[in-house]
Amino acid sequence: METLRLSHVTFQYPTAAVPALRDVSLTLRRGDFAVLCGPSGSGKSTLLRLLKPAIAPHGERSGELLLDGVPIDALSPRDAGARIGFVAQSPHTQLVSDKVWHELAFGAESLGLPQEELRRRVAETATYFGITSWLDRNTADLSGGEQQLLVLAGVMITRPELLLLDEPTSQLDPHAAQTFLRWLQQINRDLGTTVLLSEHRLEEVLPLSSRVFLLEDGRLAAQGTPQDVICRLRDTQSPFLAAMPTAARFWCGVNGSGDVPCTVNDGRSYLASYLQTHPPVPLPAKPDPVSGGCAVRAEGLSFRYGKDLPDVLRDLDLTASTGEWLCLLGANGSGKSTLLRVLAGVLRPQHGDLSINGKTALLPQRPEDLLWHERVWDELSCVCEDEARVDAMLRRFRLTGLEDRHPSDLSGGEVQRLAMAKLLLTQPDILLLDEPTKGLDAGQKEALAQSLRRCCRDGMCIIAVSHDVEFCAANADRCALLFDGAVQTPQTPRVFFSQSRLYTTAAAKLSRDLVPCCVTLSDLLAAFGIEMPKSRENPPDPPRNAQQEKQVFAKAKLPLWRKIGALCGGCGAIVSFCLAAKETGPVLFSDFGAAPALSAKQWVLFGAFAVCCLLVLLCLSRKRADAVPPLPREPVKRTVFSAVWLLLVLPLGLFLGANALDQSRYLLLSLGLLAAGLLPFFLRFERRRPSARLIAVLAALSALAIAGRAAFFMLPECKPVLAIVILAGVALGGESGFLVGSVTMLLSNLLFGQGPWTPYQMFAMGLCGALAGILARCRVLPPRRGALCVFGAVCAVVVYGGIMNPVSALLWGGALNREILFSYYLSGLPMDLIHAAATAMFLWALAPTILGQLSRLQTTHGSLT
Amino acid sequence: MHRTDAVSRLHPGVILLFFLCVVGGTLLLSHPLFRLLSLIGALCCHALLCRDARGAFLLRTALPVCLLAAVLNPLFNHQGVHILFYFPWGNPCTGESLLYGVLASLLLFTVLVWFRCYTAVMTTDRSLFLFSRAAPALSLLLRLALRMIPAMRADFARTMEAQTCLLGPAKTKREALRRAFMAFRVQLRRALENAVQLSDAMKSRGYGLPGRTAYALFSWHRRDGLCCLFLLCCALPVLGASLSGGLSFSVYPTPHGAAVTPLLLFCAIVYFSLCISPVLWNRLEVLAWKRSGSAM
Repeated sequence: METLRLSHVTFQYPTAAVPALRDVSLTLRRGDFAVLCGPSGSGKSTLLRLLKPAIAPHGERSGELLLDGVPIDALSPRDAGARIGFVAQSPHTQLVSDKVWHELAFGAESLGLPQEELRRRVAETATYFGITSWLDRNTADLSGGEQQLLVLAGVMITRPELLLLDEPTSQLDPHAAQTFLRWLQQINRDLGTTVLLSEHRLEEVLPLSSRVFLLEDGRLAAQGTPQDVICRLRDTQSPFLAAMPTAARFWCGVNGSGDVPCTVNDGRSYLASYLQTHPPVPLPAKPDPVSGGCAVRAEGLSFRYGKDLPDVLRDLDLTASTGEWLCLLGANGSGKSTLLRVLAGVLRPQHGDLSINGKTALLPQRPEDLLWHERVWDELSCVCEDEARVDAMLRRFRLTGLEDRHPSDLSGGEVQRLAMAKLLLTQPDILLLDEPTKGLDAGQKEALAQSLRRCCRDGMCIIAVSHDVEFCAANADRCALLFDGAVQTPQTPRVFFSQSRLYTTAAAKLSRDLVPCCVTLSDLLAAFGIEMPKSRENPPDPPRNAQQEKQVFAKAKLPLWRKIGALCGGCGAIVSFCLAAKETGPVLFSDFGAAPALSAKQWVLFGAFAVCCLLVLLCLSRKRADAVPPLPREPVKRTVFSAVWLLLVLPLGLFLGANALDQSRYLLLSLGLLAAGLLPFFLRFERRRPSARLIAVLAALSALAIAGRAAFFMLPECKPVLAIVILAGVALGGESGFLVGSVTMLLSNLLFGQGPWTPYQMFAMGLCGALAGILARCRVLPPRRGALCVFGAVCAVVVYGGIMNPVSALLWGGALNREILFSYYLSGLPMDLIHAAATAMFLWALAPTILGQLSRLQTTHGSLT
Repeated sequence: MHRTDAVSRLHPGVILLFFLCVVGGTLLLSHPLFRLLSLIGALCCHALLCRDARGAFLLRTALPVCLLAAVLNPLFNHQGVHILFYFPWGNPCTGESLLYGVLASLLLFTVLVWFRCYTAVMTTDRSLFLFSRAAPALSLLLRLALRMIPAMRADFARTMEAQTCLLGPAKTKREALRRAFMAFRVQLRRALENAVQLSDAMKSRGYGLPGRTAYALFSWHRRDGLCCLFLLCCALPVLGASLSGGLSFSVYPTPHGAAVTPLLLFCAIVYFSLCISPVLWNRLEVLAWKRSGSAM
C-alpha cells in the first residue's frame, strides 16, 4: 500500500537561478526501506526537507506531496510532527539537552503527552534501543555514533510512520555507521516504519534497501530496486556508478548478466561462476614506492595525556620518506589522532626519539577548524602574502570565483579543498591528514586523491590516518595498522589488505581465495584483463544560493580637523584634570563624607575638564554611515515597559528600604524586590511562547558568554560576558538582552556554585542588556563600534559596579552607611575599571562579528525572533 | 554523579523548601543563639552533603573574608556606647560595632555554607526540574545552554589547536591574544549558525505545538509529604515567635534582646532540629537500611 506519493514536484529557492528539484515523481509503499542517492548538491536534502513541513525550505513549489493520500501541508502540525520523523546529518546540531533521559523525552514532551504516557514512552524507547544504562550520562560524553543513535531514539519516541534521514552516517566512523544502519534496518523490519534515507555510503546501504532513487541535478534519474538502478547506471555510463557496491561494479565491469550482486556474499558466488569461464591472468606488478630521503622517523614513542593515565602511544616506531603516502588504519581510540598531533608538534611525547625533517601541516578531522576568516580570500592570504601563489592555489583547487564568499556558505567539498589549499600555502614538507574522507562522496574522494597524489609527486610526505579502507587501498603507497598505541610494519596495500580477512576492502573480501592479491576493484578487473573505466573529471560543485555578506563596519575616514580637535580636547582634558586635582588635593577623594565646598576656581576647572571630554567624543564620533544593517526591533510597548520597570520602580524600592531596615531585613527586602524585577521579564518571555529559533539563539549567546571565560584564560579577570550581553541587547532588543544577561549569570552560578549574590548578579547583568536594548531602540545608542565601547565601559562601572559594590557592602560589610558604601565603591573601582576596559576591548573586537553574523543569519534563514 | 544521601532522594521541591527555611531563618532571626545554631546546622549539613569538596573554599576564601569584614566594621561604624579606644584619626572604636561586625560576618559565613550545601544538592537536573514546572521556556533555554557549553569548549580547543598547527605556537602574549580573539570569533559565528540548525531540529521534533508537557524525573512520594510536614512544623512556630517579637535582638545602642524564656528555648530546639534535619533524615535512612539488612 502506498504511503508517500510525490507527483511532479518542482522546487526553486528564492535566490536561485535554477530549480533545486525538477519534476520529481515518486511513490513509497508502506514498509519500504528506500535510499535516496546522488552526488552532493543534487537536491537530496531539499527533497527530504520538503517532506517535513516544520522545516520545509522557503521557496516556490509546485506539484503534489501526499502522505496517505492527504497533502502534507494539510496535515495538522501535531500530525505532521508525530507521523514524520526527521534525522539530520550531524548529531551535534540536533541534541537539545545535556542529559540523555532529557534528550530522549524531548519529542514526547513537545507532543504534550501526559506524565504517565511520557514515562512509559521514555522507558520503552530506552529499553528497545538498549540505552537504559546511559540515561544518566551527559550527551556531551557520548561518542558520535552513540549521539546519533540517541537522536534516532529521540525521534522514534513520537512513533513516526515515515522516517526521513538526511545523510545520518556521514559524520560517523564506519563501525558506528554500520551499527546505525543496522538499527534502521531493525526499525524497518521490526516496526514496519517506512524509511527514506539519503546516503553516500552505498556499499552498506544498498543491500538493505528495497527501493533506490537516484537524483541528479534535481531530476530523478533512476528509480526502482537496487538492481534496476544499477542496470540503469551501467546503461547510461553514469559516473555515479563509482559510488555503488564493489560487487555490483565488478558485475558492471565484466558486463555481467543475470541478477546484479550487491553484497559481498552474492559477489563471491558470481565471481566463482565467472571464474569457470574466464581464467584470471596474473596481476601486473605495481611499481614499488620510490623511497626518497627520510621525512619522519619515530623510535620508541610513548605518550599519555595525564600523569596517572594509561599510555595512548606506547613504544611506537614509524618511518616515512619523502614522496611517500603512508596510511595508518585503526579503530577508534587506537591513538590515531594522538599520533598525528604528536607528529605535528602539538603534543610532546614523554619518551622516544622523534625526528621530523621539514615543516608539518595537519588537516584536522573537521576541516572547517582551519577556517577563521570571513572571506575565502582572507583565509588564504593570512598564511601567504604572495598574491600570485594564492591565485595559483585557488585555481589548483578549483576555488576561483569563490574568493569573496563566506567560508560557511561553502559546500562540504569546497571547505575541504579550501582547507587543503590553506595548508599547502604554508609549503609543508610533511602533510598530516586526519580522516580526510569524512563526509565526502565518491566524486569528492577521487578529487581529493588526485590532489594528494600531485603533492606526493612534488616530493611531499603524506601521513593519513583513516577508517576508510577503500580509499587507503586505492591510493596509499604503504599501509599499517595502528593498534593499542603501536604501529605494525607498514606494507604495500596489496600485501596489507590481502593478508587481512576481516579488516579489509570489499574487493579483497570478494576475491580473497578465488583471485589472490586483489585489493581494489581495478585489481580485480585487471585480473581478468579489463581496464577500469577512467573516472571523469569531477564536475564543479553546483553554485550555492548565498548572498554576499555586506561589510558591516566600513571604515569612514575621519577628516583632519576632527583629528586635531580630538587631540586638542584630549590634551585639554588631561591638563584641566591635573590642575583640578592639584587644586583640590587628595581631600576630595579620601573623605567623601565631609567634602568641602568647591571653590569657584575648582568649579571652572572641573567644567573645563567636562567640556574637553565632550569635545573629544564629538570629534571622534562618526556618522551613521557605518551603522549595522537593520535588525528586528521589538515593539515599543515592550521597551517602554522594561524601561519604566527597571529604571523607576526598582531603584525606588531599594532606596526606600535602605533608609528603613537593618542588614538582614534589608537583604530580604532587596531579594524580594529583585525577584519582582526578574519575574516580569521571565513571565513575559513565557507568555510570548518564544520560537525555537529565538530560544536557540539566546541559549547560544548565553553559552558563548560562559564558554568565553575559558577562551581568554591568559587575561585574568577579563570575561566577555558583559560585551556579549550588550550586543545581544543591541541586536535583539531590551527583553532579549535582559534574558541573555540574567540567564548567563544564572548559568554561571549553576555551574560554578551559587551564593546569596546570584540574584543580584542576574539582575545587574540583565539590566545592562536591557539598557543596551532600550537605548538602541530609542536610537540613543547607535550600533557603532566606538559608541558601543563607550557604553560598555560606562555600563561596567556605573551599572554593574554600581549594583554589585553596594551588594558586596551589604553582604560582607554588614551595615549600610555612606562611608561603608563609599569605601566599597573605592575598593571595587580598580576591578570595575579592569572590567570596563575588558568590556570595551571585547566590544571593539566582537561587535562586527556578532552583529554581522546575526544579520547574515537573518538574511539567509529568515527572522531570528 | 549519583548522590546517595537522604536529601538527594527527596523531591526537589522539598529540598528547595528546606533551604528557603534555613536561609530565611538565618537572615530573619538576629538573635545570636539562633545564628550560632544555624551555623552549627550548616556545618553539619556541609559535612554530610559536600563530602568531595572537603571545605577548601570555606577555609581558604570565605572564612578570611568574613573575619576581615568583622574587623573592618568598627572602622566605619562608630555607634554604640562602650568606647574601647580612639583611632588615630579621632573616631571612636566601640564594643558594639565590634560585636555587630562579628555577628554580621557570622551571618554571612553561615549563609555561604548553606549555599555550598545548596549547590551540592541542587544539581542542574533538579534546578531544571523546578524551573520546568514554573517556566518551561526558560528551562528549555537553560537546557540548551547547558548542552552547548561543553560542545563550545571542545570546539574552541580544536580551533586553537588548528592555529598552533598551522602557524606554530604563539610567541608573544599579544599574538596569543590575537589568536584567542580570532578563535573566539570563529566560535561565535559557528555557535550562532549551529543555533539556527538546532532550532530546525527542535521544530522537526515538534517544538512549538501547543500544550507542551515536561518529563518529570522526580515524583512526589509519601516520604516527601512527611518531610514537608516536618519542615513546616518546625518553621511555623519559630516564624510566629519571631514575628511577635519574642526572639528579637539588637546591638545598638547597647546589646539587648529577648530574655531567655522557655518559649525561646523551645524555639531554639525546634529551629535547631530544622537546621540539622538532613542529618536526622540520613540517620533514619541508615536505620532503615540496617533493619532491612538484619531482616535478610
